[in-house]
Amino acid sequence: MRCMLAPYTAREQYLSFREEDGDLWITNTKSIVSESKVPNSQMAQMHSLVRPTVLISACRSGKQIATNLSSDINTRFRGGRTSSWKFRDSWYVLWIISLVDFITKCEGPVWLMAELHIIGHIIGASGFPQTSLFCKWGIHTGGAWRLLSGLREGQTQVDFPQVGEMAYWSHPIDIHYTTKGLQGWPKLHVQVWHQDSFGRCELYGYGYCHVPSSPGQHRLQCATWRPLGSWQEQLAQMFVGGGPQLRSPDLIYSGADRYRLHTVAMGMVEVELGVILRHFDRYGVES
Amino acid sequence: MASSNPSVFLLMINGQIEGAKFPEYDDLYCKYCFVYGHDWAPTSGVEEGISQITSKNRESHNLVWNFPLDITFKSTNPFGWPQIVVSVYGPDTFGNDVVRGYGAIHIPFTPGKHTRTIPMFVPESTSRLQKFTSWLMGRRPEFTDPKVVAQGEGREVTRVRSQGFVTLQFNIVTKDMKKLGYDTTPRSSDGASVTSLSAGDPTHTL
Repeated sequence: MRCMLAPYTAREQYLSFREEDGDLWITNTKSIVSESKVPNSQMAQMHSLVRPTVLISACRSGKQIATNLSSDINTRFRGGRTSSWKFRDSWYVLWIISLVDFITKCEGPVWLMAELHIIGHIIGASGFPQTSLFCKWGIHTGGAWRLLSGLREGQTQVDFPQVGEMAYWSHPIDIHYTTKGLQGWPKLHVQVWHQDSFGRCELYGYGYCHVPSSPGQHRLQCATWRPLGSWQEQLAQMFVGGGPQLRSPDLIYSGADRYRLHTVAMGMVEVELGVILRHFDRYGVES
Repeated sequence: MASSNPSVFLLMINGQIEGAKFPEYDDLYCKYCFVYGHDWAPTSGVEEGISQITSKNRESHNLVWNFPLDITFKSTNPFGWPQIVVSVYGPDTFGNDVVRGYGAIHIPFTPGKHTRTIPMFVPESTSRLQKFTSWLMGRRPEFTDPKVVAQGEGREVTRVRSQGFVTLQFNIVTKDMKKLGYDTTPRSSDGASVTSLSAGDPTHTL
């Protein structure tokens, strides 16, 4: 058994390479868990998730192939780093790229995780008592889902519409998820707030809608509601504003603890979402 | 052109900025530009443009630009899908050009013809003093870079006033998205031709 070390990040992490019975093993010295075997065939790849977003691949090959490969990787992955060196009789190429780059740009028999893109806008809201509104939004998913890029929550601008009864936000959404399971398909939840001319904010409604599971463009209308207090609170709200709010916003998208809640209907939030799926069909998922 | 193993997909956009509806303003022109993510690059066409000045039709009160859009993008990743940012300008009472609206929308990703109407808004001063001075000086707040309207971050601090709409038409062609594994249309539409065939042809029903 022989070992060698290769530095690969600025954080002084090292990879150790060792050979056992003709197999090459790579270990990250910081986390022993990520140890992987490099198959013996030429150009084979090894993937090891050392850091959450970094993926390391290595391959053994002849010198010419190794040089070609590293220049090819350099052109294809702008953010990636490669190095090649000789160890015993073979040449090795190691490249470090982000997981996003790996999933979207690598071809061939690599991991094919199912991917979901949500691209769209929160258009606006109508049917609320006042029109100067803003919206806090978020996307909630189950544990199998992993956010690769994009913002999963945010807050829109405050719109004071000049024409019509609808407040327009045109707030862009662009999110990229991968998933290992279908449980917890993403849900979009919204909170609509009213801001008055003094800058005071008042809750106007909660709501959620499922992100459509079929690919394509979808226009959704999300109905909203607001908790109703006791008659004393309602009376106070008529004169001074304010009103009850949910202590835990999880209730917006879960049905678990709602049975004692008394609510009243509020307006509609309009959303346009485009859904792009990738590799779901490889797992036999029909949508 | 024909490659069996593509590494990029193409998005071809033909279209036009058809016109606008601004009830309070007249003699307007518009600018457009595209905002897209790191993995995207334009391969042909123009990325930004500026239209003629148009006046309202007496009867319909429509503003028409009929301004062409023609651009092709390539990418490896749908994240950062291109958005078109439109900003509309017109003269105020003193003849200075001021902004009358900003708006943005994602380019549709399903092939075919699409018409989109986007709301146009202008930023508002947050303090009453600023409102008063901007009224006095005849200058209103503007975004230094219109591309901020295509971003999802930092919007919570802005107050806006929506005051019109712009209508856009798109003809979309995509290439190699399916080959790269991306599903952009529901599966049932693929089978639609089959069902209509069997419905129209009674010999297919057993």
